[in-house]
Amino acid sequence: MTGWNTAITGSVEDASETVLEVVDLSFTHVGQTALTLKTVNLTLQAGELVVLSGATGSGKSTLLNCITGIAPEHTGGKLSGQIGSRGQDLTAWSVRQRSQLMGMMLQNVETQLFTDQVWEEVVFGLENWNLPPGEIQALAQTALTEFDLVEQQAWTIRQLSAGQKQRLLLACLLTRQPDLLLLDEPFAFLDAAGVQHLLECLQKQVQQGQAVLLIEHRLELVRGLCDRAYRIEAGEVRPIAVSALKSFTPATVEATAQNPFTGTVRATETASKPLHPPPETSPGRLVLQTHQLSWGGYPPFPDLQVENGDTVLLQGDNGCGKTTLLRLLSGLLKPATGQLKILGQDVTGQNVVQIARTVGFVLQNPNHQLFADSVEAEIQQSKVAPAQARQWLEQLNLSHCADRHPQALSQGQKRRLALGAVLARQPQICLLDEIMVGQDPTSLEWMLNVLTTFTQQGGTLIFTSHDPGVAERLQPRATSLS
Amino acid sequence: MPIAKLSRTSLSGLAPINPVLKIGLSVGLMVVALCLQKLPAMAVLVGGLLLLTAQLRIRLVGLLYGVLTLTIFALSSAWLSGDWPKAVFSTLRLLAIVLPAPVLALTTPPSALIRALQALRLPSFLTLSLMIIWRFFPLIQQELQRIWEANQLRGIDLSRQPRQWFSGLMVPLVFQMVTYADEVTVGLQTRGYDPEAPRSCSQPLRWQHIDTLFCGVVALWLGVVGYLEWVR
Repeated sequence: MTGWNTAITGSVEDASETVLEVVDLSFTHVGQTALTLKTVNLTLQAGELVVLSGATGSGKSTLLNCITGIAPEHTGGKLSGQIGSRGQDLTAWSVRQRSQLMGMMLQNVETQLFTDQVWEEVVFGLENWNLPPGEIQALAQTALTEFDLVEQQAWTIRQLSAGQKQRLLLACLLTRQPDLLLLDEPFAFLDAAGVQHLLECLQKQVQQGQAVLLIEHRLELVRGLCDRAYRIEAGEVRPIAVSALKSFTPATVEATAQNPFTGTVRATETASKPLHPPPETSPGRLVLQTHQLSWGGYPPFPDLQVENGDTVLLQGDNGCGKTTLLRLLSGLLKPATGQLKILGQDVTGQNVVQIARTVGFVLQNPNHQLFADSVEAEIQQSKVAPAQARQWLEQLNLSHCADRHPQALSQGQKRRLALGAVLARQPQICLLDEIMVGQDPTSLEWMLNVLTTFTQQGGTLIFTSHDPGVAERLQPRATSLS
Repeated sequence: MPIAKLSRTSLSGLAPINPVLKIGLSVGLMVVALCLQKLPAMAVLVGGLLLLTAQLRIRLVGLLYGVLTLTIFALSSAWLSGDWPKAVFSTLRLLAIVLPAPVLALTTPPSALIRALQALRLPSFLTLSLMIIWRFFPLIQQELQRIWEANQLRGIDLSRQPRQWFSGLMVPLVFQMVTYADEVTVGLQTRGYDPEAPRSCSQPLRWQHIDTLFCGVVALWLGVVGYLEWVR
């Protein structure tokens, strides 16, 4: 592209409506020879909301990193092509310089909040740009009002829910009215109210003329808002019709899943192969019972009566205690009051290690649960024979990375591996805390097939998820937490 | 929302005091503690500090640990020197040296402390480092706890299996920390931070009436200490 102004200026003189122009962008990760992104061309006009979809590991986040300058500045790798905005060439700009024109919300919001208090957080970003104190006060107040955070302005960051933190970060990023907003899976951990609030915020920004580029797996959420959609496949970005945006539902994911590494495999067939079932229990046997469990400042949790083969979904807004209840069931927390019975035995006073013989727990953050040197060894840690470990990896579509280090996997792959390592221990009861986030429909299908097989073989599943598609697929018994 | 109720905190009555004044007072009190030689003067100094400490919400377990540590220190000091008054004096001096900094730091909101350090013209990367430690230290603590728990969930009790510490605790913790460090660096840039660039201050520190009042009370307190040490 020729004729772009490469000067770095605070104000945009070019009145062009093209707020993002990606031209022939290619990127190769460090230590790899294959291109992660292949000659990507993409434009965004002011007031447009564009969605990027694609399988886990297809290069969506890499593209966002290239646009924001994080790649190759922080990740290393080789980038070619150009990135521009309103006639300016941004390719040589740093992340900070680009942040004047684009607000970037990363996957982990926690790492973009630096102070201890809501008001201070909004002010922090404005002080970084050396704005006069009077202007800072006015801009911060406007941002808090606009994002409905006035009541929380004296709160500490720790007091905020996941949705409120996201809203605060949006308020911070948008105080200086950048042209473009980039969001990486913003709906992942939000409850229904948080999703609704964020959708309203995005709609407002788009109406005000801001362009929004977002990566999302839960496509049904954004279908009504988005103007255009793209899909990344094998590093290539292709436009798709907005009407073709479909999230995971039993009908949308074919039984045949394409594994890019091992060829086409029938997911349902693989999942129906005999796994290693949990120890036999008679059908309809009560495996878990709770009575008036309570902990901390939460209202008493509803009593649970769960039989083998049951699938139970814990429902409720962010902060209502779903994770806390799972931690109580696993023994990680001891209840203040009440009783927990597993397989008819009172285990309220037992320690976690004892309870872990029958209860497996896959945590929200998979990084905490991966200890081995390789993916295969991670499964074998559970004293599983090599042949069985390979079968688990196949079931979870991880065979192609059996020799890789677990920490080198994508978040979605890590979650599947953590699930495999827990299920390989053959627990009677499996607890899952929001592990379905970050999975593309095909990967999610792999995961859900394994879980379905687990319950069909008599295992008990208790899980939390904000994704209605997951509930539709697993057909759980829902328990609401107020 | 229960989480909000659980974690809501309140700072003490010392919170509005100018943090620069608090930093100066902390240094001053430690110097005075080192200069004093008489037990009554030291007792009044420590008494005042304990009154300030009462502003903090200290957990009973922490308080018991503190009392136990001081008792052991006093007893061993008395046993070694064979002089009880001297042992009591040494224990009080230890308290007078140890207490001021945490008391005054814990009664200061982190943001006010950062502004104080900025007002003292400390380099921006130093104040930012402090701010990040303040913000992320609890997060690291939480990470450590989660990894410990993940081991328990696999049937490994690290407190009884120290051989597993490297693979079960250190490796995942280091991975998490490195990841956090990378993400925080990127996050800072996305928020416009540059250690080389000038930053403005939206709420410059100002001297208030309460600071004058606080100075008056402190002067009275130190006056009594000085009288007992040098006049009486």
